Amino acid sequence: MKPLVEYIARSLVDEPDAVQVVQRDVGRTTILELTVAPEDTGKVIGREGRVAKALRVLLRVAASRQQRRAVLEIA
Amino acid sequence: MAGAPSRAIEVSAKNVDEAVQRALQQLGCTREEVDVEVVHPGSPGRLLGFGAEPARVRVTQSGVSLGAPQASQAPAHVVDAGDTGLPAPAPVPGGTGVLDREPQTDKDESDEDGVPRDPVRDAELARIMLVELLHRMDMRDLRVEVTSAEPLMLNVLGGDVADLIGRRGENLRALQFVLSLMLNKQLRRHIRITVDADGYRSRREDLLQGMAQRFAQRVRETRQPMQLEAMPPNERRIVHLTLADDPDVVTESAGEGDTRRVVIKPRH
Repeated sequence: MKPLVEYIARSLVDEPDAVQVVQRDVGRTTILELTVAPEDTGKVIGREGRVAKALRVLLRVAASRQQRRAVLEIA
Repeated sequence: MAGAPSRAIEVSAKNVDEAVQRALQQLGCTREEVDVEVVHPGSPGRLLGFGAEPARVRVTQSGVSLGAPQASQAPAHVVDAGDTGLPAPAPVPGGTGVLDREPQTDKDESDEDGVPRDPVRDAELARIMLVELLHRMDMRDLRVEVTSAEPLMLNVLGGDVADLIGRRGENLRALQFVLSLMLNKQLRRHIRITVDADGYRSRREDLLQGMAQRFAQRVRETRQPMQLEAMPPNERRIVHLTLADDPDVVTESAGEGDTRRVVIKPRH
């Protein structure tokens, strides 16, 4: 799941090198904390949060493959 | 995925296809045995190739080998075929999606800000990106085909397509949205892309057209307005278009967000 978030985030931002994803597993839940360059925050959130929402949908699909739940936090 | 040791190389060449081919030669693998990440789509440059940028791809041998096992298992290394550090792609001036170009500008060699148009190359780039996305979603038994280069349409085929579509196509829509942003960012211009899974969208279109006609018939008979179920924008659009020329009914949308639905009314 971490590679998925990294791949998408790096493809969307102006500063791919600043993309960081920290993964924490708590029971059946995986928490992914995404950090991007401050100027890129809008690109991973999107207008009315549309990008973040789509990211969460894809993450849910990926997580369900492993019978897990995923939470995406954008720092 | 943990498992068999994997090798990754980065290769530059004139275009994405060529770079992938070279990488495959160097790894001694077939296309099915590797993950391809497009580091830079490359651009043929302006007049006389001035300002041309090579395409650069990172090719990783997948842990799961579909064909014969590989003879050598060298550690990961980077091969550089004649390129010296590419500049990062310039940021899109003025943000996203505003450059909605006419789809039928024929042979436009010098797109002002974006990478020059080449529908077939763009389609292949989109296909590779989608394959990469699916791999990272643990959807590995799937294939992606280019149904049409212009307008750009991709279709995903394989075993786990149902999970990919999701409830009422929700997952598929998210996938299309994300892929389209990623592609437009790479190409630095806006192109419309449709992602289908096992023909779901086209089947859904047929279904919606049939449903629109049946509801319209009821409205004609009863002369009472009827509401359809809530639908996403692209599906409402299909209903509107289906009934646009109907002499007896008019359609409009009512409600907000996820509960927005088409209402069919008598025209007079």
